[in-house]
Formats: sequence, structure tokens, C-alpha cells
Amino acid sequence: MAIVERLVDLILWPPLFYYIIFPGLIFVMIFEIFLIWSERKIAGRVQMRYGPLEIAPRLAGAPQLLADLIRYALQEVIIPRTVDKLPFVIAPIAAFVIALMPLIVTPFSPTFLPVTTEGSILIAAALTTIPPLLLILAGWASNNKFSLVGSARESFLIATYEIIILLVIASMSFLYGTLDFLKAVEVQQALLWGILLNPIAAITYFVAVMMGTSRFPFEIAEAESEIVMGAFTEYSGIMFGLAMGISYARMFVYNIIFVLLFLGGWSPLGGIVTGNYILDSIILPGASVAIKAVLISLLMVFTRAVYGRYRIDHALKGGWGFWFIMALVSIGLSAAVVYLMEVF
Amino acid sequence: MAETTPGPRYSERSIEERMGLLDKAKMHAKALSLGMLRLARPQRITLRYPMERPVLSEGYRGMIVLNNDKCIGCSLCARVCPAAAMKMFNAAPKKLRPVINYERCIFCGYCVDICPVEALYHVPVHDLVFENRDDMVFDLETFTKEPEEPEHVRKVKVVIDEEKGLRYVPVDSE
Repeated sequence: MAIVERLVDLILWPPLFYYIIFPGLIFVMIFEIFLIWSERKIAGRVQMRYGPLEIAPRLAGAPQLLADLIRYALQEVIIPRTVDKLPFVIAPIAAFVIALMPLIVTPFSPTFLPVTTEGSILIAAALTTIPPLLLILAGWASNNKFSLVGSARESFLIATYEIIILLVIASMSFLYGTLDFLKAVEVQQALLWGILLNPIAAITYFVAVMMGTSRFPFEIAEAESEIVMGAFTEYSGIMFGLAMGISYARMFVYNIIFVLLFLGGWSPLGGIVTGNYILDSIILPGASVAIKAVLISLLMVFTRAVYGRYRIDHALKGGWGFWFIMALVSIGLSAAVVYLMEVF
Repeated sequence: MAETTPGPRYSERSIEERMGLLDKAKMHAKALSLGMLRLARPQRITLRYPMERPVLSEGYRGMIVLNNDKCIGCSLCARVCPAAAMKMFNAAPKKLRPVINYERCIFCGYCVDICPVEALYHVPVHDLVFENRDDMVFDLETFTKEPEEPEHVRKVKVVIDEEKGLRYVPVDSE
């Protein structure tokens, strides 16, 4: 029994629990499976179809994604002879890991976070900008025309959406007067949710994240009908599974940031006090943040059913011509709100 | 002149000139709200084919079956067959009978049309499965037997609905 206790201790050891289980790897995997399944079901429902159904019709085809995962896991990973092997192998793995890295500073409750720092918003924003670079690396290393076109498109898009996202985050931290998620959530609990304080910033962030994580109508970098899988055309097996999961993992992380900055973090459930430490500090606030993030993600995948795909120049025009200006306007709005708070 | 000649079917002006920001926002809202409506009230027109099958119409050109008692062995079916799928053979001395090769058959129905004694007829089955290609060449015994309907199949009738598009009304099989 001592071994079992040691194992339980090890699993509940906060850093391990944080990285591997709750907001970390396993939770993100379950989230991705649920999200891809619901994306297919939503698109099917809206487009007069059923979506995945054949495997277990009573569960609405839910095990389909598990079957896909098993297939990816068991498939042979083919590394073509013409690729640059080291970056080819490193790129998707590193991109997936780094896509999850911002979770080290995103708190799920006032006490449940591994790294406490003054500049957590800054660190999270900085870490979210790295995975697209590895996507470009993957396309470059693949030595394939589709991959190259995909990475070229991604590199065009990065310059657009990263600036918008960073400007919006800057405007929100300007509004809260802090670079710390904890204090940002405290300000929202004391005052109002960020989405009501600065709605322009919220909408701009939402659209920029859709652009960044290749959701429709900005699914330009991995446009399946034009350039097979974008930068990840040459991948197969579990590497392809990882590559497909990168955009969903990034969307999850971006939506956690969205919840913390705009939707009041652990606001509704986090205030309940039951007396049980684990329930109070992890489960209730964590569930409230995670549920909000999942709902925002569902809203993001819903657009697949409605929109077509923008051409790259349309997306860039919209990004630079409208949403960039909206990001600047949101900074102005933040300044106005800060001024009003000073006055009253 | 402008009144008499119709303009081009597409607008030559770009979308930016045609629509202001507000119009675009309205269009986005319209598209998203329609999507939400369909999400709340789905209008599925998928027919889950192997489990439910539509009732086929009269005169559907499905598999061809021979009525051996009526056949007079005139060989017209084999002559008219454009894909050379029908072949005559001697079932007994001076008794010619057709057999069919479904690798070649194109389901045109000429043999059924030309048969002077109506010994050949279509059955409303079109999706038999064969384990190998030799099974697709029928002999007299399989050619005279009607293919069996698979079990556990819901029969539905396709109805064109003005609101929904297509609707499938279940029909009691027997």
C-alpha cells in the first residue's frame, strides 16, 4: 500500500498535477477530442447532415475521435527522404509543447498556479507567439510545395494577428493597471467583467484568435481543399495527430487568457466556500474557468459551419485595415475607462 | 441605352464599394443567426442508407431475374445486350437459356424490353455484394432466383417537402 500512497502523492504533487493532469496535457487531450467531435457534430447539424454517427449511434458517434486517435497512434510515421530530418521531427512536438507552455502562468484559482510572477500576462503573451514560428519551420523543413505555401500563408497571417492580440492584451493590462492575471481578475471581481468594460477589445481579441488558430473563415494556412494540410502535409501517424492538435491547444490557451482577461476568471463559482480545500481552491474555480473556455471554443468552432474561407489578401486586408485599427481604438477606450475610473 | 440593355449579372464594383461597414456587420449577423437557428432546429436530409432504404419506383431497373418456365430460348436478349453481358448456353439438348455476367451488365434493361414472352424482369434490388468476381457470373440457378432483401431494414418513402426539402416517411415493409 505504501507504493499506492507514494503514487497518489506523486500525482497530486502540484507541479506534476498542473502540467500533466488538470490544465495540462491530459485535460487538453480530452478537450481536443471533445472539441473536434463537437466541431464535426455542429457542422453536420447546421449543414443538414449528422456528422460522425456510425461508431455507437446512441452516443452520437463520440468514440469516433478515440478511434481516430488510436489510428494515428498506431500508424507508421513516415519521414520522407528529402526532408531536413531534425527540424522536421522537432517542429510539431516543440510546437505542441510550447503551445501548452503559457499554462504555467495562467492561474485557475488564486492559489492554484505553479509559477507566481508579477508579469504573468506578459509571459503568457510572449509564449503564445512561438508555436507559429515552429509551424513555419515545419513547412520549410518538409521540402514540399504545399508545405511551403502553407508556411508562407502562416507567416503572412502571424504578422497580422500577433500584433492585434498583443495590442489588445496591452490595452487590457493598461485598463487593469497590472501585468498579473491574479490582479486582473481581482479588478474584474471588484468592478465589472472586462468584456463589459472594453467590448471592442473582446471582439477584436476573439477575431484575432480565430485568425491565429486557423478557425473558419481564417482557415487559410491549412486550407484542406487548396494546400492539403498546409505546413503539415508531409506528416503522418502520431506526428500528424500532434500537428492537428496544435491549433486546438493554442485555441484552448488563448481562450483561457480570454476568460482571465475578459470573463472574470473564476468569478461565479470561485466565490463559493465549502470548507474543503481541494474543492474550494481547485475544482470549483478551475471548473468555472475551464467551462467558460470550452464555451468560447465551441463558439469559435461553430463558425466552421457558417463561413467559407477568405482569400489570404482578404484576411490580411481585414486584419490590417479594420481589426488593427480596432485594437488601437480599444487602447483608447481603455484609456477613457481608466480616466473615468479616476474621475469617479 | 442603359434601360434597354441589361447589365452584367455580377456587380463590377468591388465588395468594398458596394457595402459599407454596417452592411457587412449585418450580413455576418444574418449568417451567424441562420447557423444558430439550424443548430437549434436541425433540418437533416441525410438518408442513413444501409439501415433505411427508399421504396423504389415501379419499373426500377435493378437486378434482372429469369423466369425459366416462360423462356423460349430465342437468344434475343443476348443479341441486344450492348455490353455483351448476356450469354446463351445449352441447359439441355435443344434448350437454350441465358445467363448474366454482372461484371459487364450496365442495367440498361434492353433484354427485359426485347424479351417476347416477358421471361426476364427487374427486381428493385441494386446492391448485392459478391465475395469475388467469379460469383458475379451467374449460372442458371442463381439467375432464376430473386435476390433476397436484407433484414432489419427500415423502408422509407421520399417526400418532397416545401419547408424542409426532403422528408423520409417510414413505410411498413409488409
